[in-house]
Order: sequence, then C-alpha cells, then structure tokens
Amino acid sequence: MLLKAVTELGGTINATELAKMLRFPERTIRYRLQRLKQQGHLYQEWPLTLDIKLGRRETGLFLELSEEYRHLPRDFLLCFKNFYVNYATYGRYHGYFAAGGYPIDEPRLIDKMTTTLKKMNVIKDSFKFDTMDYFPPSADLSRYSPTTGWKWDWRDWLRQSEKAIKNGEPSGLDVVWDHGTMDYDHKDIAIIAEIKAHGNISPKEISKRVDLSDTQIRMRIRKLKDEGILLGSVWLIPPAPDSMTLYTFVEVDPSDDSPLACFRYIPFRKDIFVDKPNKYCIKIVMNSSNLVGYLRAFESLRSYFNSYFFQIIVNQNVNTERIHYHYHLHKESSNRWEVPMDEYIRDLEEFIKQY
Amino acid sequence: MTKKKPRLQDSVLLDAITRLGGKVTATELSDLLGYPDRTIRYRIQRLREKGYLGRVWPQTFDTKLGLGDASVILDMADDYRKLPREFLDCFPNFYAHYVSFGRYNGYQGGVGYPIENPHIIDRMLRAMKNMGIIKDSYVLRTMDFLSVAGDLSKYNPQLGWNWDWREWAHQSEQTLKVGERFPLTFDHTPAPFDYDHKDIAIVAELKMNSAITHKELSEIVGLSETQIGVRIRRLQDANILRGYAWLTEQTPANIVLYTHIELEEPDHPALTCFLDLPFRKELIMESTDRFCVRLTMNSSDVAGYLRGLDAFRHHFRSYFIQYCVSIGIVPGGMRGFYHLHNESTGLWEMPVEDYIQNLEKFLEKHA
Repeated sequence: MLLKAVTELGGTINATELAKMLRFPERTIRYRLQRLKQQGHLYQEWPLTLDIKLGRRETGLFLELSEEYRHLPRDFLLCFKNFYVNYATYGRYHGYFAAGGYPIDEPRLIDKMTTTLKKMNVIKDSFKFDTMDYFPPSADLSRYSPTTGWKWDWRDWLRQSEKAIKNGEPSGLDVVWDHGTMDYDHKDIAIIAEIKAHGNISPKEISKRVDLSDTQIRMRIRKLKDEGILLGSVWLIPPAPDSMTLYTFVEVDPSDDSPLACFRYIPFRKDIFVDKPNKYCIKIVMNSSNLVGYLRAFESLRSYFNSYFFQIIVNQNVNTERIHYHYHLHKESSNRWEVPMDEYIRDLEEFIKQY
Repeated sequence: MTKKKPRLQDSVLLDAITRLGGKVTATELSDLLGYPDRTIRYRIQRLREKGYLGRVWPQTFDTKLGLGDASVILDMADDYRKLPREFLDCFPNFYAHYVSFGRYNGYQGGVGYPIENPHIIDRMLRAMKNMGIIKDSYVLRTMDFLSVAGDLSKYNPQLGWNWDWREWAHQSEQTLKVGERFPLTFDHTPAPFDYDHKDIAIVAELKMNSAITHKELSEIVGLSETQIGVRIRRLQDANILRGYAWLTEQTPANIVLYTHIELEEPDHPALTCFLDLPFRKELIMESTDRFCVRLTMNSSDVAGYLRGLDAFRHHFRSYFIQYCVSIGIVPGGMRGFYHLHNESTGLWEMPVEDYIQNLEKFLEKHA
C-alpha cells in the first residue's frame, strides 16, 4: 500500500505527507521507505532546489535532431557536462530533452551551444526554457485514497478551471523575478551536491565528504532552507510501464496570469517553472491513462492561452554521479561556476569524428 | 443443469470494444467473451441506443470513385486561437476532423478532392495561411491504405491488452536486424473502376447507416434490390468497399495517435515493426516512403507505445506523432459529403473559391 501510494502520487511525495495520509508515524514511514529503496522499488529521495541564489540557472533544452545525424548516439549530449540528464522526448519537438544549468552571469552560453549544434547540422531546431522561479505544489491528497487510487474526473477540472478563469481568479503563483544572491561559498554547493546525489544523507555523512563539522553542516543546511534554496524533497520511483511525464508550455499575458489558475485544480503533484513573465511550464508525472482526459479538457482551455504546446518524456532514469559532477562545475579556487563551452564543443566535434 | 452465466456487464463489453481499437465484429466478440453472437449483437444495439458506441463504419477506398482523400493537419495561428471550430464547416469537403496536438496544435482531418484536381487542397491551405488563421500545415494524400486487425490472442476483456513495450522494442530490434521487409502490399496503381452516381449514392447511404437493408437502399437510390446487391458485390470485388469498422473514438478512454513517418527506403523494415503492435492499425500510404500509421488505443497504452518507439525511431528519416481527441463530422454528414458528386455532370464538384469566400464571411462575423 505504501508503494502504491508513492507510485500513484507521481512518485513525488515526502514522508511527512505519507505519514499523515496513511496514519503511521513518520519514523515508520521513513524506515519502510528505506527498505523499499534497498529492494529497488524506489530510487532515492530527491531534494527540490532553486539554485538561482547560488549563481546557477537551471535550464531545460529540447533538441530536434537533423535527418543527417538521426543515428547519432544519444551520448553526444554527454559532451556538454553542464547537462546532467538527457531523455528521449515527443511532442512539438521529437528528439532529446536535456536538463542542466549554467552560470547566471553568462546568459548567452546555452544559445552559443544550440547555435553551434545547428551550424554543425546536428539539430534542426531547439527550444530552451530557463528557470527564473520555481514552485513545487504538493498533491491534493484529499482526492487520493491509498486503496482505490485517485478520485478524479478531468471534466470536473474543466468546469472548475473555466469558472476560475472567468472569475479572474489569481494564479496563486507569487513569482519573484529577482531572487538576488545569497552569500555562499563552495562548501554550500558541495553540501547541495551531496544531498542531490545521495538523497537523505545525514549531516554526519556530509561532514565526512565536505570538510566541515557536523554542527556547521547543520547550520548551513538550515540557512539553505531559510533562503528558499532547499525546498524539501520527494521520492523518485523507477518508471512504471504506463507512467509519463507531461510538460505543458503556455504563454499568458504578463498583466493577466489568471488562465494559470486552472493548473491549481489538478490534484497530482506538479512542478511549475517560470521563465519570463509570460512563459510558464507545468510538469506533471502521471499515469498515461490521464492523457486523453487532460487533452480533451485542454481542448476547451487552450483558447485562454496565447500559445501552448506539449512535450512527453517516458524513459527516465537519474544518474546521481553526473549530478554530483554537475555541482562541482563550481570551482573552489575561483568561487565561480565554470562551464567551458568551447571545450565541450571541441569534445562534440571529436565525438562526431569517431562516430 | 448448467449454471447460468452471469450477466454480461456493459462495462466489460464496452471495454472490449474500446481496447480492440473499436474495430471488431460481433462474432469475434462472442468468441472472446464467451457469450452467444445474438446476445452480443443485442447488447451492442443497446449500447448504441444509449449513445455509447458510434456507428459501424464501412471502410471505403474512394480513389477508384474519382474521389481523392488527404489527411490535413492545421497548426492554428495564435491570433485566431479563439476562432470557433465551425470555421472548418466552410469547407464541405473537410468531412471529418479531430482536435489535434503534437508537432502541430490545432485540427486535423480528412479532406476530399476530385482526383483530377488535387490542387484544391493547396488552394485551401494557402487561403487559410494568407488570412492568418494557420501558421503551418501538413498534408498526406492517400494513395492506398491497409487495415490490420488487432491480435485478439493478446487481449483480455478485463485487463485490456496484454502487451509489454519491452517485448515490442525487442521484436523491433530483431525485425530491423534481420531486415524483415514489410510483408503486405499496397496498391500503387489502382485499376480504374467504371462508376456512376448511383454507386456513390450507395456508398453515401452505407456511410450514414451501415445496417441499411438492400430494400431501403433500393428505395433511396432508385434501383431494384437485385441491382443493389450486384453493385455492392462489384464495389467489394474492386476492393472499394473494404469491410466494416466500429467507430469508438468518442469513448472516454480512447485516443487516436497518428504517427507520420518517412522511410529511409521503400518497404524499409522500420514499417514492419508496427505490425507487431497488438492494437488494430491502419497504415496509410502516400508514396513508397511516406506513410501514416493510425492507432486507436486506450490512453494508458500511450506511454508504452512511446517507450517502444524510443528503441527504433532513429530508423525513420523523419517522423512525428499527433495526438487526437474529439471527432467532428461535416454538417449534413457523409451523405452531404458524397453528394458533392453531381449526378447530372458525373463530376465531383468542390468549388474551392466559393468555400474560401464562405470562410471570409465567417471570419468577418467572428472577428
């Protein structure tokens, strides 16, 4: 029942929520989750972070491969070490999705990468989505029962959404455009790297890997939480055969974000990313049986948005080593994020030659 | 005394029909569910009366009747996103359409054209683009199509399709390794068929009501019952009338996926891979390397389909998928559409310039 709950909640729920729902002490839930992880049913706890205050911008890139390079092994993306995962994607773009980051003070870096890929004729098109702000609303557990699953009808969603939009209900997203920067050093980033790579690692464990005392680690973690960088964590599950990740990209009028209110009424856990005042991305992990209901409802909602499109991802896995490496693009010596794009591009040229 | 069988649940029957891609005969269903043919027929009739099932749809290859068929996708311009869907009705030859998402977001559907005048499609699309309604479009003209039944051995009425995308991906790898060519043949040069308006009137009535009797047909079309029988047989022999299919696109759990592909070379094994899918499939051919695979599946099977496709999609020169919901039919239905064939001239008359003027008027009204 615990596993079912974790799976059906999109694999993204924390122990506190589970404890409340299943009416078991949090300790028990945590212990049992660990057991499930050891048995291979769960991947790991995944910390949600907003790294902008640490000088790092999260970015998502959708790449449409050219005909010429359609047989190019997906590993070509590994040349770009500032991207930590890549998956096959379908939707407006058919090709690959890569998630990564880049230094905030080098905003042109990713454009340089995509322009070069285009020039080399590896890709014919691309779409970039930067994260300026990020919201991880939790699931509406009142609509979920551990025994019978989700009690949910997409037609209700359509009705609620239309009502909300017509009433001009606010989106509820309090977007912060300038997060500023926290006073951080390499050790803060090293701590995040450990947490990202190992999930619920204890401060004691971290202190062994990052050269700080137990107490100092605790203090720094508290500060990272207070600053809104560490946003809590969720569990990642090995993908069920019928689960999918659906990204909905929408554009709204910057002066009126009320169409976004509709996403509040989706009970599943979702991640909402904001790029520009008019550009939003809603990520939902769901059983693909929901796709048809969602699209049918969206048929009536789409006219409220200035533009929209979908991307689907099915085969997902997380490479924690690569995430760890990614955070260590921040160098202690210079106290800067170092993303040597020219070097990556040379690696790609080498890769293509070998291929 | 044998124990009485429990009553067949509507939900079980519906689910069976839905998951079979909506295209299965009563006899197949009776074998599968273990209820007599008669019961199944009766219950299907009931479901239809309750509005659960669309009609039974005769599949026809109209090219031999002088009627070309194109699958057209419209990518709606952002400025016209509030335009009511009814603008499509300005084109009486746009006989059926879906709301479509994917590479193109907007509408897609079937458009008829006189076989000797294929340019009217381009004219329609150019006009829509000039008016700023669409920003892009895609056209696939049907040269021939094949309908392949679902694999009932992999189907369980309670559990749905018993298939595993990993198996499909594995089979596909084998198919590609062995280089197994596409085993079915398309008709690249359909033989001409000598038809007149009465043949078209018969097809039109069958599309309106496939259960129509020869007697009823004879009254509407103005031929004797024997002549109707002879003409239907002739249409079947010429492979114009290709059997019947249930339309269940509107059943809640179903989604229609159109996978458009360009092959590296004619009959490339990548096309063969689709035949290993358990669902009912329709393969529409435009040329020896340009195809569209139409699959009606339960929404829950979409993730598996995409997972399987990951394994061999790079073998297509290019491809894209459209996800379709909410079918709409031209006002006047298929009868109106087929009666674009003019009895006195014996020609398909689709005055595209008039249609475009209608659209202009429609836009003025909804501006």
